[in-house]
Amino acid sequence: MNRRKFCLSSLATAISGAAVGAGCLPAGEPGALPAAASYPSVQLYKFVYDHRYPAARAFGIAAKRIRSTAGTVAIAGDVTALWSRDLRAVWCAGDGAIAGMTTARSLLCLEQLAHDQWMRVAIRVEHLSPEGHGVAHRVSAAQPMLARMRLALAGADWAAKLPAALATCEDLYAACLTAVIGSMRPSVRAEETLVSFVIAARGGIA
Amino acid sequence: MRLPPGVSSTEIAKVVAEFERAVGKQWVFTRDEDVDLYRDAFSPFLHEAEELVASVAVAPATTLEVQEIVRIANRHKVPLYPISTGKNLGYGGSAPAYSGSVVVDLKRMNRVIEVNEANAFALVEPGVSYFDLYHHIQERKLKVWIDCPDPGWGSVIGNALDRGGGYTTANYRNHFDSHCGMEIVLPNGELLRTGMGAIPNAKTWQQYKSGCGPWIDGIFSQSNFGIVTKMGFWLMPEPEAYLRGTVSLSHYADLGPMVETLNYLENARITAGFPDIASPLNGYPPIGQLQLWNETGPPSMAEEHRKLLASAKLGYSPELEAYGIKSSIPYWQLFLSFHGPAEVIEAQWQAAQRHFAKFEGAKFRVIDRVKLPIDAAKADQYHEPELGVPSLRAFSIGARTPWNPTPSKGHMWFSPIVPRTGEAIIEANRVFSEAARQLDMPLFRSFSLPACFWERCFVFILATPVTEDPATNKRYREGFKKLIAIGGQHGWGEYRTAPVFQKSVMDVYSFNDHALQRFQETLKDAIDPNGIMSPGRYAIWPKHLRGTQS
Repeated sequence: MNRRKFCLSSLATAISGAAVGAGCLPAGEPGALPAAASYPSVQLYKFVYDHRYPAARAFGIAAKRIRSTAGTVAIAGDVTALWSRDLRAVWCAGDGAIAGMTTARSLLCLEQLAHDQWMRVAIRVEHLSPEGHGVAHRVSAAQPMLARMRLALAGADWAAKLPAALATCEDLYAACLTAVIGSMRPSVRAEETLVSFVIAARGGIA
Repeated sequence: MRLPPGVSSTEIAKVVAEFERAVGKQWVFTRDEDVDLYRDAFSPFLHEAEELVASVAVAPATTLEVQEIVRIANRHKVPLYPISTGKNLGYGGSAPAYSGSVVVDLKRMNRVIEVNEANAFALVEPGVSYFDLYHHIQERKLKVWIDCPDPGWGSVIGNALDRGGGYTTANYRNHFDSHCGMEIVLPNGELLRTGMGAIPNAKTWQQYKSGCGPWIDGIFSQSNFGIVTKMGFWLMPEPEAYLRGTVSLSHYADLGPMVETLNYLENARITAGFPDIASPLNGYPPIGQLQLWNETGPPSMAEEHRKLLASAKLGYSPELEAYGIKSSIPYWQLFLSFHGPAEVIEAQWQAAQRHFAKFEGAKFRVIDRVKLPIDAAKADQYHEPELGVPSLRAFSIGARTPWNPTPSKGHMWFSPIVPRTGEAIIEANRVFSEAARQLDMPLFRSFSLPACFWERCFVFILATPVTEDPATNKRYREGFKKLIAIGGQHGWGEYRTAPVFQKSVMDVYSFNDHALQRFQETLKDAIDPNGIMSPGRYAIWPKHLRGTQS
C-alpha cells in the first residue's frame, strides 16, 4: 500500500473560537457551503449501525442506499462477530475503511481494534441526546469535512443524511478540528451519546 | 513533539533519527496526533494535566530491532515503555508508568511461531492477540484450546506478563503459570532465553518450565527488567464435552461451608472449570452472565424483595432469608463447569452433587450439556471464554443500554486478593463497604462476591468509574488509594493495578521494612543501571529517579 493520507485523530482544537461545550456553530447557517473536495474520497467498505436506537436505524436505512460499499451491518452493541468474521481479515489485508453509528463503547472497541491494524478514526461525530429535542453534534474532522458535516447535520433528518456525508470523507492527512453544531443543552453530558464515525487507514504506513 | 523528561530537543532528534535507521522512518511516531493513540482510553486523569503520556512511539518488527532500540535508548539514557498490544484497559492501557517515556509498540511482532497439537503448546510473539491465536488454531483445525480473558483482544504475552486470568480449566486459567519458556531482550540489549531455552538448539523449551538453577521467569512479569519477545504457553487439548451445572443453597450460613466444599472439589480436581458464585437473593450475578445482564437488563425483582434487600446488612437479614426460602430464590448459587469426555464429566458432576447433598434444601440443575466442538457462530449462546472462544462482549459492561443510559468513560479495577473462605467474603464486604461509604466511593455499595480465577484464593474485581468530571475522578483516585491501604491493614493486597496506583499497592507489600521492594531495586540497579526500562512500573524506580516520584 502506498503512503495514504488521512485525517489524524481528534484534537480538541475549536474553530471560530467556539470551545467545545461553550460556543456553538448554528446548524445550517445560511451561506455555509462545504469546501470543494481537494483529495479523493476514502473508499468505504461497509456501514455499521446499532439497530437498538432509532437514530442509528435511520442511519442504517439510508446507508443501504449507498451502492458503492459492500453493504451494511447491524449490531446490538457487541462487535465480536463483525470483527471475527468480517473486519479482521479485511483490515489485516490493509483495507476496509468503515463508517457507522453506534454507542461510544462499540466505537471504542472498533477504534482499539483499528489501532492494531494501524488504522484510526478519521471523522468522529458525537450526537448528544440523539433521541431528544435540541440535539447537538460534536464533530472532529479535517476542515473540509467539518463543513460538509455541518450541512448534513443541519436538519431534523440528520441521521439519514449522515451516511452520504461520511462517504465523502477525504483521503486527507491533516489535524482534526472540533466544533459543536447545533444547540447544546447544558444538562446534556457527553457520554449520553451515539457516535458516528469513519475509520480508515492511518497515514504514513507503507 | 513532547520530550522525555531530562532529554533535550536536540538529543531526542538524534534518538529519533537512530530509531528511524533501526526500524524504518514510518515506524517511528513523533507527532502528537500519532502518539496520542497510545493514551490510556480509560485514564483516571481524563482532562487533567497529570495524565501519563508518551513522548514518542517506535514499532519494531523483529527481536533484532528491539535490541537495537534498547541499545539506542541506553546510549542516550531515554526511558522506554514496551507494550504488547496495549489493551490493558482498566489497568493502565498503553500509557507509560513514567510520563514522557518512549512507547515501544510490539504489535508488529505478531507471529505465531509454533502451535504443537501433539504436545499442546504454542510459541508466540508479543503482538499475537487471543483472537489471532484462536483464528490461527481454527484455520488449521488444530485440536487445542486457548484460555482467554474477558475481553479477548489483548496480547497473549502481555496478559500473562500482567498475570491475567481466564475461564477454562484450572491448569490454564492462570496465564502466567501456564507459560513455558521466555525470550527477553535485557536492558543492555543482550538476548536471554529462560528455562530449557538456555540450551542452544533446545528441544524442550516449551515442555519443561524451569530448566536447571534459579528459575527467573517471574521477575519479568509486572516488572521492568526486560522486553519479552517470545513466550511459550501450554494449551488445553480440545475437550470432548462441556457440562455446567448449578448448586443452589438457601441459607446465608451456607456460604462458608459452600466455599469449603468447593475448595475440596477444586483442589481434588473433581471440578476444574471456572467456579462462578452468584447470589440471586442479593441480586448479584455470576460473572458468566454479566454480559447478559448488560445486554438484556437484570432480572426483574419484586417490590418486597427490593425493600428487604435495601434493609439487609452485609447481604443478610432473617426476613430476607425467609423471603428467599418462601419465594424459592437461592441465597447462593454456585456454577460448576466440567470439560472432558462425557462419561467422565457426568461422573464428576455426580460426585460434586454428592458432596453438596449435605446442605439442607440443596438443589441441582444442569444448565449446559455441550458436545464439542461447537460451531463458532453458536458460541455466543454461552459465556464464550469458558469455551475457549475470545469475545468482546465484556464491553457491554458499562456501555450505554436502555438499562444504563449514562455509561462511564471507563473504569479502574479494584482487585484485592482475599482468602478462599466464606468468612473472608463477609469480612471484606464489611471492611470495604464501610470504607467506601465513608469515602463516598461507588463500589461495595451492595453485597459483592469475588471471582475464582485462581485456585486457593478469591479476588474481588470491582470497577471504579472514570467520569467526565476531573474533581470526581480525583476524589475516586484518592479514595482508591485509601481502599488499597485499608485492604493492606487487613492482610489483603491487589493482584494487579494501573500505574497511578502501583506505588500505593506495592507499599502494602512491606514485610520487614519493604525487603521485597529493596530486593527489586537491587535487581534494577544491577540489570538496568541507566534506568531506561519502564521506569516506575510497579513502583520499581531506577536509582536516579528513586524518591522523586509520588
